[in-house]
Parts: sequence; C-alpha cells; structure tokens
Amino acid sequence: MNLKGIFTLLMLILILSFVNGNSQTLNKVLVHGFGAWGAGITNGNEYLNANEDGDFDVLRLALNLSSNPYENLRLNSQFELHGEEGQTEIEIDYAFAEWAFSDAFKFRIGRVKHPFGIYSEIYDVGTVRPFFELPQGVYGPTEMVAEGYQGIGFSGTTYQLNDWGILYDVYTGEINLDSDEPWEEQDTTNIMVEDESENAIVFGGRLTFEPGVEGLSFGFSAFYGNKELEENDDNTSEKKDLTIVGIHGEYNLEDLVFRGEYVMKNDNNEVEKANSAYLEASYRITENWQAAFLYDYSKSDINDLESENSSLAKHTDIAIGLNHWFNQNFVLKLSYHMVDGNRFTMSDGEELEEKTNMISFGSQFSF
Amino acid sequence: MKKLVLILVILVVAFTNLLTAQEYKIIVNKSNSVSSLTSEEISRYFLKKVTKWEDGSEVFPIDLPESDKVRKEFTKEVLGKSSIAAIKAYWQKQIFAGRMSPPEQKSKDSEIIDFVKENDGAIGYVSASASTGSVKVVKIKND
Repeated sequence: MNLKGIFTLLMLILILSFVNGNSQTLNKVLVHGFGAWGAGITNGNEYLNANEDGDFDVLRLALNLSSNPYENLRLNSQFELHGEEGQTEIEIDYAFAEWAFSDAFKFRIGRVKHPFGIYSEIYDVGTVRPFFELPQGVYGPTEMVAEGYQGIGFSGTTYQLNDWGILYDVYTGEINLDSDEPWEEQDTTNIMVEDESENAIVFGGRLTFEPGVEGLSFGFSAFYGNKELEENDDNTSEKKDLTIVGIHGEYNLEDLVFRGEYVMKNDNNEVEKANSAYLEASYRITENWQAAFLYDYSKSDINDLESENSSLAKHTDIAIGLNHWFNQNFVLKLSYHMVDGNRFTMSDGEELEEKTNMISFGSQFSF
Repeated sequence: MKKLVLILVILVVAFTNLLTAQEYKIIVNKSNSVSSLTSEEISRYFLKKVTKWEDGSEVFPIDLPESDKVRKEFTKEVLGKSSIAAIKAYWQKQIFAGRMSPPEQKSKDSEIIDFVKENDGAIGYVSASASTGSVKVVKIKND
C-alpha cells in the first residue's frame, strides 16, 4: 500500500472514531502542531539553508492529529509543510496505527517515525532542543537517520527491573535515507551537490535505559539496511548494505541539559565509512533566557577520495547560542556557528572555502 | 523554664508542619482497591509511563490547569519537576513522536472529583480542603 493509501485509510478510521468509543477520554481527535521560521547568513559557503546573501526562506509548519477510538487503539498522523528557496512541499511525516497489548508490547503499522537516538522522532520540533537545526554529523544527509519508515514495528516500556525504566523499539520496513556525496566532485570549484534520497529495506531497533537517577537516560540504536543501486544493462543490480550503530545519552536537570550521541556507519560497498558524534549543552540563565553550546563532528573514510584529509569528508561545527523562551511553546533562537570542513557545506559559485561561519536566527513554536 | 522550652518546641514543630503541609490530596474512584501509592508510582501514572492498574484496567490521570497552584505543588513534589515547563517539554516529545498525549485537564476541584467519581480507572489530585466524600483519598507512602 502506498502512502496515499495509508493516509486515506487512516483518515477513514479517524472519521469513524467519532462514531464509536466508550469513554469520556476516548472518541476525541487531538490536534497539535509546530512551526518555525528561520534566517541565516554565512561568510561565503552555503550551510544549513544559509548563504552569503542571507536566506530568510526557512519555513516549516506541521499539524499533528491523534485519536483513541478504542481503549487499546491509537491513531497518529502528522503532516508537514516545508517552504524553502521559494518552493513549498507538503509531506506526510507519519501516519500509523498502534495497538497496545500492554505497556510492554505495542504493535505499530504504517509510516512511523524512525526510532533512532535522541532526536529522530522529533526531527523538526524546535521547542524540544536548544538549536534551530539538529547536529548535522548525525542528523544531516549522512544515511545515518531517516525521518520515518514504512512497515511494522513493536514498542514498549517496562519498569519491573529494579525500578530501571527500559524502553525498546524494533521495526522492519522500507526507509528513506537522505545522502549527499560531495566527494563525487573532485573539483572544489562550483560544487552544487544535490541531495539524493534512496529507499532501503531495513531491520533495526533502539533500546533506552532510565536507571533511576533523575534526568539520566542512555541507550543504543542500530539498523541494517539493504538498498538497490542502479540497474545494470543485463538487468542485474548491485545492492548496498548499510550497518548503522549508535549510542546516545542525556542528562536532563531541567535548567542544565547535556545530550550526546556517537554513530558509526559502515557500508559493504566500502564507498563510505563514517563516524559522527556531537555533544550539546544548554543552561537556563533565567526562566526565559537560555545559553547553548554545540560540538558536532563527522569524518568519512571515502574510497574514491584521493586524500584522506580532504575537507569534503570532514565536518566540525562549534556553535554557541542564546535563546529567549517566552514559554515552553514559543522561542527565539540566535546562534553562531564555526564550521570546519565541507562535508555539509556547498559552494556558492566561488571556490569552496574550508571554513564557514554562520549566524542563524529564527523562531520556533508548538501547540 | 522547662515547660516554657517544651511549649516553644511544640509551637515550632506545629508551625513548621503548617508551613510544609501538603496542599493536595490524591484521589481515585471508590471501586479502586488501591489505598496507598508511592510518589514514583503516581508520577508514572501521570506521565503515562504506566497506563494500567495492577488488575489490568486502564489508568485515566486527570490534571488541573497549568496555572493552578495545586498543580504546581503536585508537579514539584510528586512529578519531581521544578516547573510546568519541564513537563510540557516532556509531553511535546511524546506528542510529536506519535507516542502519547497528555492527561485531560479539568478547570477546578469539583470537576476533577466528578470525573474520578464517574470513571473507575481515574486518578486525580485536588486541593487539601476539597470535599472528597464521593471518592477515595490515596495515601502517598515513602518510596
């Protein structure tokens, strides 16, 4: 069933949920949403939708609908509108049904957010993180994390083991992985790399532990993906196997929050092996003002690259930020990024500089 | 002199207890067999980390409005968060990940009590002075 079919089916079920239901708390469609507007300017290269002339076009809006038509059945859908560079796209972020046999065993089917690491399921929600955009080493176009998978999954939580909380997700299906490979262009002048999205069949999971220390959680994520590359003239095609493994940790003391992840990518074609990591810290100076710091790193080993130390395979972003929270639903964010490497930067038509500085400003909200 | 010291001690203890007196009561439906819960257990019900009672029936937590003084006290002492903002951040992650929705809210004690009275699996909290004859008050035991 394609996405349109899944969407139609779920809309029908949502409508039917108004007919059935046997509790005050059931039979309601809950509406939430989030949005963002951002602008950025760099000192040369393009990075994160910012360029030398200043880009004021980053615009996102999402609508989230959920319903509990029956006690164990939950229906979820989320639609996003993206507006960048004068183009507007609407996409189904997710649309799935979940049947809860128990807290420890839930079945999900449809298009589901990819459960990987800390941020994959809340990819575009700006009010749950300190910076406007996510760390690119892990969450950029690296084939490490997808926004969703189409398939089936199992999920659950348990607090039976010495008061430790254990949360798990296991899934299989088709996943869409964004990637770009700037090293395909050896000439660093006028590189304009197009993002590519490729589908892969995957099997993966995530395990998160809450060890009973207030605010502390850590865990592991992994998936194995298999995707077909271009078809050959003799109707055979090559397959690319991807293995992605990551660890994540968070220590949330409300005013002071630390988050970090390390992800490793391996592909059997040995085109690219990559290691990415980030450490993010934020501190509420007052109830409304927050300071933030980011160290983001990525290094790829590319077979095709002549030089191991090519800037096309490296990325470091050291960023500081200052945010004003009107309340938890609405925030203004200002950040300054010092980027070294061109893994995620693009030329603006001139020679590609190894270093890029960027100022980013924007607002994000949720309801 | 000793009597005076004793009276002073009693007064100080009484005054301290007055200052730290719990400003809320935890209530459940009268058909619920639970008579006491730890803060951790109550917290898990309200954060929907646990959604079933021990008998397998559904838990229905019910909240007061964010601006309510009793809710702020409950958030601090039972949920262990110094502000409602921290709880909102938690619920934003759950909502947009497609996992859970926050508990329903009622605007005042009487509506909370009515909801708990009418729903077998409901659990709520009201101000300490609320009249709770139609529901069961649950003790908070040490963790």
